[in-house]
Amino acid sequence: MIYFRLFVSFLYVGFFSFGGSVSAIPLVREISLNNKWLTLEEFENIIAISESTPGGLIANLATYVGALKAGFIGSLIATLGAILPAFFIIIIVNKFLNKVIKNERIKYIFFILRVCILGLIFGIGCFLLIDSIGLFDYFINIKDSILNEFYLNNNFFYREYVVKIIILVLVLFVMALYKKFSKKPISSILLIFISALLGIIINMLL
Amino acid sequence: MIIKLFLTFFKLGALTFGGGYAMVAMMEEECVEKKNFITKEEFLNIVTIAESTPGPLSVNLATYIGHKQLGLFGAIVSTLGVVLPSVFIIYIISIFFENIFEINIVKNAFIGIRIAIGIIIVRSSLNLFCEEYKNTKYKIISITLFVIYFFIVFITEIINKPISTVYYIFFAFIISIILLMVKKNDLF
Repeated sequence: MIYFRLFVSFLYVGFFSFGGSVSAIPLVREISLNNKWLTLEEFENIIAISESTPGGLIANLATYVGALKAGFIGSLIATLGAILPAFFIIIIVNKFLNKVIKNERIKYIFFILRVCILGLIFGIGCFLLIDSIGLFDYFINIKDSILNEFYLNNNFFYREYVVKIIILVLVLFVMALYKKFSKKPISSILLIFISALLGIIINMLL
Repeated sequence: MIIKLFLTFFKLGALTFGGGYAMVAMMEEECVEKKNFITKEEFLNIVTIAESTPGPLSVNLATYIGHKQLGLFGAIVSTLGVVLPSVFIIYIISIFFENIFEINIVKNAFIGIRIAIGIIIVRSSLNLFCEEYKNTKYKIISITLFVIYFFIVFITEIINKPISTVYYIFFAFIISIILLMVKKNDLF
């Protein structure tokens, strides 16, 4: 029965996806192809959608595959399967953590872990930010056009990047303005809304 | 209290585009600063743990914070809260909008959103690190490790050969053990 299959398959994904989406993607591909649930192209579309919509990648993948295969109930069951292992593991961790964390050595270990992880997150953030303006693609395009000795249509070539840089500058400007007037930095949620709006407006104007 | 828990995580679950780390930043703003569900240090500790345990980061964090507030029932409420919005949104997309990104407005909005996500993650991680740096006596080692990890991650991402987070954490754990054994005075 499809519900049972979905649940168990995503239980498997949920249990083995250590470190988040990086390990989840191959697992979901494995179960989707083994069960003949998705073609490779459908799978890639789902990844793109799941990365952009709210919620974690793993849960979104489960929801989507479940929805495609077995409607709303399917999406619920698949998602439940994906998050149940993590749910129980964290509850167990919580029971132990508070006892364990009083030790000075353990505190030190966690301190080291924290600064490393923050460095990691900062690195990913910088990469995402530069990628979101298309700077990496820009350089790849330049390299390609030089190597192949052709010149892409100038207007079209640059417009995309100019638009994104303008959006970035405006977003930063709005952030500075907000901080000036309300003394507090802008909340992330508000920032997302404003950036979405700017994305639409700038693309309309240019 | 239950309602507050559910609504907080429902809001987070509905609005965190771009997954994992943006979610961490927003959860920190909501749960630590605004609602005081958990202290900043505890929050960072559980983020560290949640990176190594299986499952989505958002679910791990939600489960922990909910469990802390109201035990098992709280864990269920917060987890459902964080997961349900995206279930609904994705379900609707799967029926109607297979090609949602071909709608121009959506595509353009996401160009802006992607930029915001980058800013949010950079801002949050930098702020949290500055706090760690301020509060610790181990200044040199903290900034050294932060910078090293930043560079390695940044370069591996650019050359498109990313390393799984689990390895980063494992390595950090090894480093911490070595430092523990080696340290004599309070230099690090």
